[in-house]
Amino acid sequence: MPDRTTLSFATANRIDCMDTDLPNSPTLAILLDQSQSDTDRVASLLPLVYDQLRAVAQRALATERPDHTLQATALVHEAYLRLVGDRAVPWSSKAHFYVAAAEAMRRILIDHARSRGRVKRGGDRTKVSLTNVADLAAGDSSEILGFDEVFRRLENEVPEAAAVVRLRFYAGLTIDQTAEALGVSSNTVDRRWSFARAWLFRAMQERSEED
Amino acid sequence: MNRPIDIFAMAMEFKGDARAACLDRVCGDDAALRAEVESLLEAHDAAGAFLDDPARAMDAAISNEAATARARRHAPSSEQSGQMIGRYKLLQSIGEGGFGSVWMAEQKEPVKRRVALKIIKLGMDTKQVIARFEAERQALAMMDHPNIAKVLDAGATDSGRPFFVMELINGVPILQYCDTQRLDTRARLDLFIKVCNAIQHAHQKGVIHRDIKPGNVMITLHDGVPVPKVIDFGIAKATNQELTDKTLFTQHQQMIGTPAYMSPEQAEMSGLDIDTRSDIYSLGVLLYELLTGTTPFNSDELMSKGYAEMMRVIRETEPDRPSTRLYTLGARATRTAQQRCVDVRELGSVLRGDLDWIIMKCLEKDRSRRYDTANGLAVDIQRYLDDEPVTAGPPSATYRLGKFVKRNRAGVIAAALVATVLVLGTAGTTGGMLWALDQKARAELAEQEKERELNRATEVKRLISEMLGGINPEVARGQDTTLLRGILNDTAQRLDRGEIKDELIAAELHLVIGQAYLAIGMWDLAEQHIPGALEIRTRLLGEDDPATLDAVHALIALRGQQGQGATLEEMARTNLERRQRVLGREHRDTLSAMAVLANVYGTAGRADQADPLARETLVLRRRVLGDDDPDTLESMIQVATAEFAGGRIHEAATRVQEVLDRRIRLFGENDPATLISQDYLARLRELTHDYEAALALRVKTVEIAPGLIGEANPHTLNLRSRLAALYVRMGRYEEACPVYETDVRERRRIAGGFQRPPTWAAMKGLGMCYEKLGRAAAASDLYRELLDNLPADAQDASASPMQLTTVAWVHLRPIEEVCNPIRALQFALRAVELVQRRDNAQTNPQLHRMLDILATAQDQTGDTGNAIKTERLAIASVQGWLQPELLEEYQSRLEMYEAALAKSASEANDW
Repeated sequence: MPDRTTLSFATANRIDCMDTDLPNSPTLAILLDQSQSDTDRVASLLPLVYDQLRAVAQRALATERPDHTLQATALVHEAYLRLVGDRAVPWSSKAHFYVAAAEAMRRILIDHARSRGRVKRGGDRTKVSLTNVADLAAGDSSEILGFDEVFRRLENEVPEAAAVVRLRFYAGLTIDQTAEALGVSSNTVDRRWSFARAWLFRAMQERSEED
Repeated sequence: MNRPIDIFAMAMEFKGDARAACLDRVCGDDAALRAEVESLLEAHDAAGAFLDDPARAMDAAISNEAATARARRHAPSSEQSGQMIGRYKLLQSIGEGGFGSVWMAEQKEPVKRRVALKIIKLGMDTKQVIARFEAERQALAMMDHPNIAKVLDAGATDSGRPFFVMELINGVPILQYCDTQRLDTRARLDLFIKVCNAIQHAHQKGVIHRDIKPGNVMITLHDGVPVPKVIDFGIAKATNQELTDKTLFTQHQQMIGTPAYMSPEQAEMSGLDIDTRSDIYSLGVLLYELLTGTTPFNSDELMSKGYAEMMRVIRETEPDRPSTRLYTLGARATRTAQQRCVDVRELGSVLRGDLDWIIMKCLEKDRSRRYDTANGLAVDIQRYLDDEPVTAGPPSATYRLGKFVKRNRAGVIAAALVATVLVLGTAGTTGGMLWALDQKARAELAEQEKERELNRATEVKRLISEMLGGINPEVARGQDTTLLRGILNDTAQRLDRGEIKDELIAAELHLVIGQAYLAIGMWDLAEQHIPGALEIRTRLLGEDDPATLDAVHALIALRGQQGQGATLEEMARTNLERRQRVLGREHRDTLSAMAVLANVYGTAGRADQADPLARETLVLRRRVLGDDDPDTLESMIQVATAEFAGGRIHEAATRVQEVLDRRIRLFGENDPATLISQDYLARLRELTHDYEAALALRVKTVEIAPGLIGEANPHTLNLRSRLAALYVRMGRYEEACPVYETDVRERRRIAGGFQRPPTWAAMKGLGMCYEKLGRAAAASDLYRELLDNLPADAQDASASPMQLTTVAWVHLRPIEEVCNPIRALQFALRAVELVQRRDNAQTNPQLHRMLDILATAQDQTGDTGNAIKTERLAIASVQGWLQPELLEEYQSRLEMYEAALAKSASEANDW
């Protein structure tokens, strides 16, 4: 049924045109603002990204089985589209967005864990089966908080490895994207990622043995 | 370098002894450091899938399902392992579901073996269940097939719950197996054929399964070869009573598991008359899900509808064809395709055609139209695999019409069209009976009658939509719409006579008819229906009802086509606001209203409002509907058009290219939408002078169009003209010539060809080619033929401005037999005069051509001064950004006239 608009060349009956590519979103403005330092930029982005990402993630988390809808890559991308739109932004600027998004995602998961409150215990679910954010969100709150604690320890001890985990795990970036965002080679990211996985895996195992 | 991370990275480069040597070298005698690194290396090797795939979380669903299954296994149950049930000793719970629980158990007598024990939940009449099972026991015992799990025994637990004992199957459900193994379509079909064979065997022994679903078809591995095992034979029948019992159903919704696999006859309230063809239906659903990853009806949606509505959907609603479904899945389609090791486009093209038909034949509501036997289904699939023609056929529009008429034959004469059926079917058969019924029954009957009216309205709607084929109206307009118009007119007449009693149903039909007329470009007729539908809905449902808003939407589309802009903007804005409020900001229809408003702004020349709105719509549609949704792609075209209008042609081209790539991936090249975006992109490439790219696209469109949308479709003809014109622009006259020749021949062939401006244009183009190639005689013949078919007198009252202009153009050609500038001037003047008198000159899109030709005629008759004025008018009325070639051409002519005038002026001075 022709319920949709029929687009034709007739639509283009216009001579005048406005440049709609001006930065009219605050996020975009921050991303494009060259005067701020990297840390400042991430700091100013965080509240915006957090609100937006939470709005997006809440829908996913609200479903009974967040695993179907909660994918870091998709959610962060969606938040990005909402905040920045599809305007062309240099990758170096986008990187700050992803750093902020990763932190936002981490906090959202913690909020989620705390709001859930209930801790269902049972030795059946091995924590080391975790493969991504969706798994984490589907787990119980002790698992989310536990992983976070371990992650923060890594951040303290080997910050460069933790930085990779942030972007890879929490923001769902690929190795290559992470490399670009951090300004290092893909090989370096790969090595740090292997190390971080091993480190976190060991730490999670130790935790579950303590339980 | 003594940090663990660095040493770890280095050690990772080595294996075995080399690694140890490396650690010796680097750690020296720092034992703590070495222990730390070794422990990490060990952790690395043990980590398995830990954090393995954070960037592509699609697989999370699967792993989580496994986790849920694990959790279920450990869920508390009233049975304990070690407990004896009859002569079976429970060993381990292997499954839990709405129906009850499944245990691995050990049988001691008469033979020692392991079996599966299925214990049914409380809430059923155990005696009856067991009695029904006993009744079928003999038949069950006769089944002996490698793909059927034997049902061995049944009984009652001490707590009075019925249980069934089956052969123990160590396997996973078929869907899970296929997806985790990423089996391609062929491998899935091979497995499925084995399932059909199993069902066929059971049917031959007189056993109907009644509950075929993925969970009842397990895959086990024998020497690495997957072997399907159909489980639970006889159990559905034994526990069958509850399937049709309304109360029990609502109390124990999970009882029947998914209704998605239930056949229409199982959804009938009687529920008794079930035969083997019911299993064929369920096999169809299983195949549907194996191939597309979804069931024909969404289970959750069905469940949310309530019992009666759910049953109605199963009985009456036609599901999407599998290939169609794939395109509506958005991002999920990608996952579905990945699990089948193909991309979406490939999967779509695999499904489209034979497999669509095979599955739809299984899913026929009328079971006599399904495959007679499971074997028939298996054979047809094998034919498909062997590239032989299948027996299932395409449900074409005419076939559907036939089916519809057949289904409603009572009281209908064969020649009657749909509308006849619509009315007679309801009023005729029940009218006489009404008196005999008491008040209550009468009310019920009236309700039923209304429902029938509604069903028929829905059927008419479906039929009409299907005949339109959901394709671009531009293409639809070129199709043979005789049959469609027949149905529309007939339905319209019956509506006029007030034969539809229920006003809302009448409104529905008015809207359907109006929209169909709109789609085929018959706006006056659409006008007779759409406003009426809106009036009824506004009155009965209120302004805010989604149905009312649909009617408003249609009215906006109509007004837009009629060019009635005044109130349009207000209507479009109100409609958007209402939909935002009523349906939510992210509803598909709300987004359509946004797109419409952007379009209305655009048509009104309000780019500053149109462009941001179009972009916003695109962002929302991308997010809500996914990148591949047809609406999203439409939005991309809208934004591209805005960019194009703003002169950002390169950006527009990039965007259209993306749309084209997606469409090709999703729908293939043989698709109307793909065709239209190819044409659009070609135009943009022409504008950026990327002629080679444009040519490649145009050649392709001309290849595809005739087979796709028909030889005589104006769109097909136009695409060919555009290819020829492109060759001309590239100076490749040799190649342009045959294309134009075909173009002229085809255009003449169709009815009224000679009376239509595009035919003249094609002949003009061909004539120009002949001229360029030095074939003056051929050009002359062509031009004279053209003149013979056009008005000979400029004052001819019936002559149209375009006809007159064409005559003028021919008389300006440098070919002796036809060259006659004086006559050209007469005709050209008359044409422009007519346009100025008759039409609103500003809106005639051809005015600039007429002016340009008039200028040439003026110049050639010595009136260069006026030629300059006229050419300037032509330049002012051509939309240069849209047709830069013309603008260029006109400007160069203007310069020529000005130079000539300046020269003659200076010559006069010299003199």
